Formats: sequence, structure tokens, C-alpha cells
Amino acid sequence: MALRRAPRSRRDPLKLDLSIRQPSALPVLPAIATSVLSLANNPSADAADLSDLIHQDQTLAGNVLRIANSPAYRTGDAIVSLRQAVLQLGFSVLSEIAVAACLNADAFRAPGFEPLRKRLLAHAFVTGGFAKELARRKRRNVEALFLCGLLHSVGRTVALRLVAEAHAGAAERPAEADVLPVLDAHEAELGARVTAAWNLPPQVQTAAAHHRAPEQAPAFVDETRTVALAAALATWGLQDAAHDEAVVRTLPAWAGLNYYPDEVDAVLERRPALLEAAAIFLA
Amino acid sequence: MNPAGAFDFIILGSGPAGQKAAIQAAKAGRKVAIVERERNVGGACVYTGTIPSKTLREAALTLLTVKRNAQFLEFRFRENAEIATLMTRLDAVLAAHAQFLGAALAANGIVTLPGRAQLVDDHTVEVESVRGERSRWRAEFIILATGSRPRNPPEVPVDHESILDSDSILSMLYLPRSLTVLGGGVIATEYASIFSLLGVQVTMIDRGPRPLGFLDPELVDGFLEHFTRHGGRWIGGRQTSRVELGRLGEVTTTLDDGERIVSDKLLCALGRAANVETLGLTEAGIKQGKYGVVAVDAAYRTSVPHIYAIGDVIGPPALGSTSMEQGRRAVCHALGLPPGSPFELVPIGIYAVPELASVGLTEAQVRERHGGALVGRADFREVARAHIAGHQSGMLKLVTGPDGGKLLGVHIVGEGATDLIHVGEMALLNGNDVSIFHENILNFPTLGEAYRIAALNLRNQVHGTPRPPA
Repeated sequence: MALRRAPRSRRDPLKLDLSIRQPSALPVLPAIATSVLSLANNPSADAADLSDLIHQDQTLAGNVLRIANSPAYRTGDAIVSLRQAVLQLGFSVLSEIAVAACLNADAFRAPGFEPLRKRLLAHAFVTGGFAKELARRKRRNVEALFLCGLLHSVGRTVALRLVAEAHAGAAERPAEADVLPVLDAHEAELGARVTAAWNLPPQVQTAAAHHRAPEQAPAFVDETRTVALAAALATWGLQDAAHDEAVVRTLPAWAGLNYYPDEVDAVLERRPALLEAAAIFLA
Repeated sequence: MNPAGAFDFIILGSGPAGQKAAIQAAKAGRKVAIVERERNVGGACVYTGTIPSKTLREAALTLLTVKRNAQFLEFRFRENAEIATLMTRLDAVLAAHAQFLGAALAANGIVTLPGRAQLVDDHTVEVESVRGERSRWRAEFIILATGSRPRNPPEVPVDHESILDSDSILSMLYLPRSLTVLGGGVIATEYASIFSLLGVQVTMIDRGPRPLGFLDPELVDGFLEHFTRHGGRWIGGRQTSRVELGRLGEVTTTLDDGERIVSDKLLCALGRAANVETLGLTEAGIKQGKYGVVAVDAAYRTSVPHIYAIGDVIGPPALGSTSMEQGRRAVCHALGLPPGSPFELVPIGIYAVPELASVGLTEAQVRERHGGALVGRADFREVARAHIAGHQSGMLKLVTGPDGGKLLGVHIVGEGATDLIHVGEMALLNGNDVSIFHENILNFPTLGEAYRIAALNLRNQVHGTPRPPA
């Protein structure tokens, strides 16, 4: 599927030269890297443990899928989801891939911006969770929507890494308030480039490129709108409890996707469980 | 709350049944509203049922054709296509269909009320919009056409990820390596054969000894031969005692004799449940029948005479074609209009691979009612057009009484069956003898030639020159 190139914002106070950056290597959380290495060396662990672990991490998930589709591992069939990777490749090969992905961790840290990076990853994880709940309510396949949600903001993660690289060794790092607009500006373009380079399923590519303007998506409009709603719910979910739930209930996307009030209740009720899972993931 | 509005007819649901009822009432000059809970009109038939599954079927057949002709083309065939890739035409098909349906309703002055409907009393419907706003509307007649959804029994833990139903099966990301299909009905048969054709290792399990038990056994034989030849496995006459999701996401199905079948995914296709829970049937005094469907009489009246029910919500046959006709007839009855001759013939079309179609009496029914039967058969291997099109198998069967005269049933398995059946249906409706097919000219080469071949086969039996068995 040909992806429409997402519009590029003119706002870029940090003047990142993205054209020379190759989105082929993504950051991998050091904590996840450690866990994967530990799991790979545990004889009692199985592929389900590894699958669970990979499912929790946006960057590692992307890396595993990318590497699983590389000539070294691919056996002829395109691997487009983590469950498929587990089922087709088995534990040993998958752990090998995961470890290989983790070996790239150094190339993807965002020194000086770790708190922000953690927040981005938590948001991605909770978005995946809400996307799954939204899909389940509409009797749609939840696996596809989870992946779309988990990887929807991968462009921001990459942009953050680039910001960190650009300011490595500098005496003074830019303030978070200055960084966020840069991430916003480059998210769609980088998301499109990275997910396309990884040969991820077209739904995931579309969500990464268009979740901020789902109506402009060339295909998978409903999936992208669902991810956009899930991202809004994740933003709400990760804020403190004082944040007004009534505002969330009035999001136009609910009606746009045809969720009735009782269905909205059922999705919002999942907030505590998703936050708990995110906390475990980030601990 | 809006002030109460009034219509002659309020129709709940805009699937095939509701649409046709609404248009029939509007054509009769009545003021009509149709309530639809989804974003667009069309019903499950459009968005999760008939059209999406047929789109995938066409994709599977296209792939098969390309495979057969691969030696003429320079390309590398991608065996494991993603579902989304196979369904790329679906959005366009759905958009076109929804636009057409919406325009047809608007052109007939039918008011669409988006939201969920509930009967407040036997003349009042409350509509809850997706934003939670409520409005009330009154009507002289109310027609329930809310359709059905997949029935998922509690012992099958459908999670829409590894264990799917017919709504979620088509939003899978990728083709699984293996698929277990629970059920032996139309939906189970269609999906089992389509995924089998796409290279998925399919196991079909049902408590019935054979799938599609309501069809002529020879048709089912034809289906099973094709299905198993393409790698499918049929397990009949066995109960499923347990379905479990494994830690790797694999699904284990345990049968009553202890056999375990492990697959990447499972499709639960164990029938459909009527959408009645939120309708407020009790408030309106409407009685339900077996399996929770709305009970109706021959004129589709519920236990409340001015409330009708049509389509899947009243149970079998739950076909789009019959639902449409039920809608038309219900409105005719309500308005005292002649509905036309009663429809005794209901053609059945099953979009499996290969297609199956049937109309009239089966061979067994003819034997029972007429004291014997003669059967004329045409094997598609004798039909030039089938060879040209690359159809590898197929069979058309004409059934008469012992005299070999009047046509009493037509049964077809093979590509084109669902269209071909209409020729036989017209002959049945006209009360024709089988000889009509060999005493008149049919285009050559066409699949319709099968009628001529089968009719000649039957004539040879009548005249004492029986055809050797195929």
C-alpha cells in the first residue's frame, strides 16, 4: 500500500537534520534488554514469557519484527505480528532475535531525556491497551489494534533519540518544553519512514503516519481513528485522577466510531488495569 | 426529549429485510422511518457478513487462478499474503454499497433515525443516539428487523485474538498456518473452504456427521472432496468438549474422545443469535420462540398483530434473499396489499469453494413423496465452459419423479452454482418437464449447458439407455 507522505511541520527550533538519519535502528529500553538477556539464559523460560516481554515494549517489538523479516531469519513468509513471530520462529530463534535487538540498545538511548522517553513509552503501552479494548467492544481483531496502538508514536521515540544525539556533549540541553514541539513536528514523517522500513503491516504504518489526522489516512481509517481515540484515552489515563473523566466522555471520536454510552463505560473501566500493567512495565 | 413524532411504519434495522420493508411501505405512499444503530445503513450483511466474506473469497479465487497460470507470467507468488492485502478492495466495495443503499432510502423519502431502538409500548419506539440523547417516535406499524450476531457459547472463550467469530475473523493481521473451524453450517463451510484455498491448514469439526446436513448428500460429497483435496480435514459426528487458549496463543480443541487439535487460530461458527435483548419485547408484549428468536405467524406478525418481525431475528433460513422477500410481504400484509403467490421455493446459495446451490426437493424427498426418483447428472468435466474457465470439478443434478417428467429439484456444486440455480428455479416455478432443457437451445459454451447434459442423461434413463456411472 502506498502511504501518503505525512505533512511536515515548519516548527523545528532545534533544526534537526533528519534527512541524513536512517531509521533502521531503534532505541531499545535497557531494562527490557536486561530482561530479555536474563530470560534467554533461563532454561525454564519459554516463548510465552518472551512474547509477553516483547509485547510490553514498543521499540523492542519493532526491532523483533524488523529482524525477524530480515534475510537471516525470514523463511519465506512475512512476519507481521509478535504472536506470529512466536508461533513461526519458536523460542530459540525469537530469543536470538530479541537479544540481537537488545544489542542495539546503546544506539538508541536518549541521554538526558530519559524521563520523557519513559513517559512516551508508557503512553504507547497504554494506547495499545486501550486500542485493544476498543477493538474488542466492536468485535474486531484485537491483535492488530494492539500493535497499531503500541507503535503509533514510534516516530516520537525516534525523534527524541535524534534530539539527544544532536545535543550529545553540549553543555546545556534544550528544555523539555522546546523538545516536545520538535517531536510533534517530526512524529508523523518519522513514524511513516520507520514503520515502512520495518515492513510492518499496512495498518501499523497508517496509524503511525496519520493518527493525528485519521481522516487523511488513505486506508484503514477506522483503525487509525481507533488508535487516535486510544491515544487520547492514554493521555487521560496517565494523568492524575483529578483529570475530569466527563471531558473524556465527550470526545467526538466516541460518536464517530459509534460507541454508545454503555460501551464507553466499559472501555473507561479498564483504566486501572492498564495503568497497573504500565507501572509494572516501567518499574 | 424531542416531541413525539409519528410515522406509518417504523422499521428497526436497515439490513436486507429492513431496507426492502421500508421501500415497499414508502412506495405505497406511507410515511416511513428506519432506525439503525450502526453508522451506515446496510446491516451485518454489508459490514461483517456477506460482502466482506465474498470479497475474501474472490481474492482467494483470484490467487488460485494466478497460481494456475503462474507458468505464463514472470512474478514471484507470495504465498503468505496478509489479510489486509487480500481485502484491499473491501473498503471501496463497502463504500459503494453503503452509498447506494443510503441513496435508495433517501430517494424514497424514508427517514433514517440513527441510534439504538427500544419499544416503550406497542406503538412507541425510543431511540438512543450514540451520544446518549433519547427521542420517542410513534407508528401505526412497527417492523423488527434487527438481525443477528454470532452465537458464542460459554464453553468457547472467544477473545477476538486467537479465538475468533465470524465478525472478527476478517480483521486478522495475517493468515494463520492452521485454523480450527467449529461448526458445519453455511458460515463454517464458507470460511473453512476459503482459508483452505489460501493455504491455511483447516480442520472443521461438527457434531453432525456431515456439514450442510440440509443439502442433497451428493452436493456435500462434492464439497468434501474439494475441501479435503486442498488439504482440509473434516471431523464429523464428534462433540467439542473443551477449547483452551495456550500460553503461546495457540488454541487447543479437545474432542469428546480425547483427541486434541492444536491450531494457531479458531473460528467459532456455531450459529447466530437474534438481536433482541435491548428491544424491550416484554414491554410491547411480544413473545419469543425457540432459541430466543421472535415468534411470528405465516404473515410475519408477532404476538402483537401490528408489530411484524422479519429476517434473521425470526430465525432460519436467515438468508439475505429470503429476508428481503419477508420484508416486502410483511408490509403488503400490513397494508392489505396482495403479496403475490406464496413462495414455496427458496433457492439456497452457499459461497463456499466450490459454490453450492439448491432449489426444490432433494432426491430423498422426491423418493419419499413420489415413490421413487430419477436423477439426471452433468459432471462439469463434460462442460466445455468449465474446462475453459479452469473449473476442476462440479456437478449439476436434476431430480424428477419415477416417470422422468416434471422437474422437482435442482442441485449444483461447482463454480457458478449460485447463479446457475436460477435457471432451474424458473423451470420449477413454471412446472416444466425436464425435456425443456434438451428440446430448446442453450448457448454454447456456457455452464448452462450442464442443464442440457443432465436432461439428456435423464432422458437416456427413461428410454432404457442408462448412462454409465461417473
